[in-house]
Amino acid sequence: MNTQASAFKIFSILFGVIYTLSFYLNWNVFRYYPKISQFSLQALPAKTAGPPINWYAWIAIAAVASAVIAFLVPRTWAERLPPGLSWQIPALLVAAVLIYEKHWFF
Amino acid sequence: MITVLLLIHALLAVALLGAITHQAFAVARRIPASATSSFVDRFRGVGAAHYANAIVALFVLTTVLGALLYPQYRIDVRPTLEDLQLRSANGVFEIKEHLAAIGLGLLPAYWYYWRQPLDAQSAATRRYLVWLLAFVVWFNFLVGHVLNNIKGLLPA
Repeated sequence: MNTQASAFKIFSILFGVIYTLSFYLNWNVFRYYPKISQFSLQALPAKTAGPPINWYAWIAIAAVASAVIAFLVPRTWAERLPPGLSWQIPALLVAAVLIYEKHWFF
Repeated sequence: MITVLLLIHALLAVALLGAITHQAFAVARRIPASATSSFVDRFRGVGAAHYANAIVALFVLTTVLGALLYPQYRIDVRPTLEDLQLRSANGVFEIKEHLAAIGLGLLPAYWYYWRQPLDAQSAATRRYLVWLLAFVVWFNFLVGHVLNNIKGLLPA
């Protein structure tokens, strides 16, 4: 397996993990307030700014962190990871999301 | 403008749904060339690898358009659903956004394993990546469709 393959595999494994952690722990490096069409690094008052969208920040965190780690991880370490992890970990995350969000329905 | 974006989002989603479903069926089992007589066999008998680039592009485009539409949903649709006490509708949208993100993250590995020439040893990985992505696409398509039409689906 070449370096590119290892990087893609690590990116795909990490992206879902970091995204899930970001929304579970509510890591918001920024927020978008659609009512006033404004990005903000700080939480703004809901009365004037309306509800925020955190999803953009969670995706941005996951993309940047996964890309950096995928680039930094030594190729020899990455090659030890079985290819199946590329779908097994995201599949577990999908299951975790479904379980976590069940409170909307019961 | 929002309506136009929503229509394009929906049309891209339909194309993505078709492509990923073809691929998901195609990897389910190997079809002998002579067994392509029934509709299902012909549906499965496509060259699955040829769909990969299109699926990546369609997934990214559909998600980007969804992200552009999200502010309108947050301002208009979600408060309406909350007023109508439709918690389940809000819940399935929450799941939709998370699955879209997880699907987006899957794409680099998916694209790599579907690069030509295909590595025979990675056939199982390819199959499960496709099925996982197909689950995400089908779930998100159905949720988007139901939410878009939810007023018409509710009893008057």
